[in-house]
Amino acid sequence: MNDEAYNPAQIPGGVESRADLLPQVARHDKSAVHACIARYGPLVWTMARRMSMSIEDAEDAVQEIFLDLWRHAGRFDPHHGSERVFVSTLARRRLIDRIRHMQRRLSVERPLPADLELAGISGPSEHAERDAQVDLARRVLRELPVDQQQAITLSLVEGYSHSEIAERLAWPLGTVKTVLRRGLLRLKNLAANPSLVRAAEDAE
Amino acid sequence: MSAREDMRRLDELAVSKLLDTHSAEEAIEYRALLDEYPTFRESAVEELLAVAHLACLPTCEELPPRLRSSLEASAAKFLDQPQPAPTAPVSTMPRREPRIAPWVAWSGWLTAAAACLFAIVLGLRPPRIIQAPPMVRTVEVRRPTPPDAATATRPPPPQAPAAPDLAAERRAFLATHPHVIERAFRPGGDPTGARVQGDVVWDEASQRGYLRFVNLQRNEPNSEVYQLWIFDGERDQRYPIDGGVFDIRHGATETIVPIRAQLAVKVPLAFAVTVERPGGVVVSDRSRVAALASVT
Repeated sequence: MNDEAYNPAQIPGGVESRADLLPQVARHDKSAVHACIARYGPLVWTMARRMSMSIEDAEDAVQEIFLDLWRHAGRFDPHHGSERVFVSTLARRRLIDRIRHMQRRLSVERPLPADLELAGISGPSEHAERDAQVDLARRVLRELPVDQQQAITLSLVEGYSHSEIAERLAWPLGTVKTVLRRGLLRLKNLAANPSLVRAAEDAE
Repeated sequence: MSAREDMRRLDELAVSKLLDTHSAEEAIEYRALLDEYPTFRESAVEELLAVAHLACLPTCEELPPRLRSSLEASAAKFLDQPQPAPTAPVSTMPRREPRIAPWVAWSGWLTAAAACLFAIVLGLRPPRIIQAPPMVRTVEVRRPTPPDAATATRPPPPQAPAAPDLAAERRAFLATHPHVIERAFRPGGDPTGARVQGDVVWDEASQRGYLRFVNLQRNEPNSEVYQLWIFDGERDQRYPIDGGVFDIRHGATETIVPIRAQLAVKVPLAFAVTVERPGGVVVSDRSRVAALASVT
């Protein structure tokens, strides 16, 4: 397919369709590779912005993540979760690795910024994208006490260390670890039993 | 222990490992259990964290045109490479090298946090932000698209869904939510909002609302953005709720911004718009308040 013919809205699995793209990407389908950028670019970019030191760093991370994604597209198995979750898992890995590497380099190149304050904290919010796993997770997370939601958000989305979370929420470090572990285990258990979530919601 | 208890313990230890809370004893126990249950998918727990991450993530921001263009170029290079032999999916994720605790990388921030806490305890104004920290938040999706010469030579971008008519959305919202709070904005002291006019409408039940501005100065997204903060009577006033970041493309014409509160707002006291660095901030130093609407 040449560039002129490229229109992801018209191909199966294109931007307008919600069919999985990665199997086609694994076959080097040109339209699918480009559609992948359109479909997952905003997600990867948003994750990278929040877990990167600068805009430039986030842009580099997005490039690396997409290369990873295209190269490993054949690993995607829809039986183990949605494509969106596969993409975000891969993106998280890459971003965490970059944090580790970048911080090691920065620590010797420049002083730490002295701009940290107590956190105003984000929490679960509505997504335009629908994904059954994610919807379920959001429902489960919303059932957690607000401070637990905050701790999970700070840890997963913002990349805060346990110590930083402890500082911001004025919790003992051990409490932070316990809350995170309990919250995620609860998520895992409820994700395996969606009927429990529905029952809890019905009871409200 | 029964196999069921073992699996539960494996889940616990896998979560603990991915959160980097493993003690030395737990690490040994985990390895032993993995040897005993080789079919256990650690990657399933990693995927769980990704699901939770997605659930907590605010609305996604559009790719900057320049980055999009660059990705399209990378895609073309990737497609030029020979295609590998097809393989059946063997795992949901590629293998990775052993991880070192990622949070270790963040430990240095603790020093700065402690210094800042100390300053707050002493009643000092927190220092101005001098370097973008990694925990910036970006939620506004209606970001303007600057002209980009590079786009002229690349394939036409995918057709984006039509921009919603926010004025119509707001009207419909008001028609269907008779109990909204409606308050006028006034200038907050920063020159960007010296002539600002507008209002905020907020519905407590649905936790939805809209901002409307005229004469709020146009911002340059690469330099600064506007960020909404909602002060809640049931929360510590030092930490208002982040209502999302947004841009003003044409200050002289009406701009409507949907509110994206990151937490439930229980008792709204005030809505404040500050000027912040690109992406927004976790906590504003409130040095540049562009507009303010008090509820009480």
